[in-house]
Amino acid sequence: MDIEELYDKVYRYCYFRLHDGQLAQDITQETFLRFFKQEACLDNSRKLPYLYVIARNLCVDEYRRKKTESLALQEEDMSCDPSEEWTDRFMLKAAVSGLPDTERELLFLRYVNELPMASICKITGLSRFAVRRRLSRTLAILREELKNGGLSE
Amino acid sequence: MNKRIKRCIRDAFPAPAPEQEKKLCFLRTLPQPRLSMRRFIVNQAAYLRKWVLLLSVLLLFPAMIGAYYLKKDMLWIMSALIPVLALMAVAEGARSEVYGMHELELATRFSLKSVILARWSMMGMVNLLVLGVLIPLCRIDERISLLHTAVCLLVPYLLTVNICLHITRRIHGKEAIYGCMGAAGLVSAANIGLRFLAANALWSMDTGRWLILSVILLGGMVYELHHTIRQSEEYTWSLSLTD
Repeated sequence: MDIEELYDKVYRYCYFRLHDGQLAQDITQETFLRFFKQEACLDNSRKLPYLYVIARNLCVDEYRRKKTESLALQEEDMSCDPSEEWTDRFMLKAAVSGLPDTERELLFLRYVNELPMASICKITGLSRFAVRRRLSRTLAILREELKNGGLSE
Repeated sequence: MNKRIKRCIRDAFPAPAPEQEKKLCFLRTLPQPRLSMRRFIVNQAAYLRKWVLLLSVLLLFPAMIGAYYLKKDMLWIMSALIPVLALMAVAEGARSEVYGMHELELATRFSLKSVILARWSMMGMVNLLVLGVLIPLCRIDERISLLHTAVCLLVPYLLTVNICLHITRRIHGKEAIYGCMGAAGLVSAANIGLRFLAANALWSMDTGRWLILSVILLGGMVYELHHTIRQSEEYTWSLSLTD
């Protein structure tokens, strides 16, 4: 993977955990600096999970330090796109914000940053079975939410 | 999963784009560690075809069986099989040439020269290990020294390596492998022929002569390796060809 693409993905992950653009970028850079100090950066199989684990730990440290509250759901401008997909998106965002932290993280790693299962297991410390089960349950909840809202799937 | 839901999930995690200037400045100055020689060789070992390594080690089995049953003919059989070991080692190193990826690999992160050297070093070590096990197994008689047995096996090996390296240096593409196969076959056939023409030739010849022959062939191998490596650097763009 291209380092610039990797930087963007790690930044997005840090933003997901911290909800602060500046802080997320600082943590991303710190992650890369720490990553390249280690021997593990040369081992391709361990590369990706290791990078995310550093980012995750730094975010947890930062979170503990600042004791910030999680960001409330961001409201979107209703006038931008009143299409069916926009409504779906809005509903889904509301549903996602109501999920437990672990489920949200799994959803983010799998469908936003598109990480392989093996890497997600290493990052979160969960078994492959647990990740699969939690993801499918989360998706079922989201589908149900969409259906209950009388919206398209 | 529905593409639409996937897209919606992605949008459920909004993030502002990182500051481009800060990002690019950081990535430009990011100190990336250099690869140590040991790790580079280990990394390159992963690109060696497993069946080649397996076949090299499998050569030990006829030796083990032969050591029990054939006794006297053991050395003949193994010295006729040894060219196969040499052929596999040379062919593995010349893979990029055979598959027409030679020029492309000249422009990759690691120079073709270092890649070839690393792969040949690995193959050489495997072959050395195999020969190290074969030599005591092929010692057919207490009167014949271990050194004599070693040179009896080394001569066909080095001879095949010399010819194969010369062929891969002169002929390009798949034809080089056919040439190498022919050369290895010839060395094997010569061994078998020698068995029938002069049955005692292998152990009746003076160890010193065998040793001299081995040293000459070893020198020849170094010469061929040196030229092969130098040749891998020759394909540089000649500015005199352009305006």
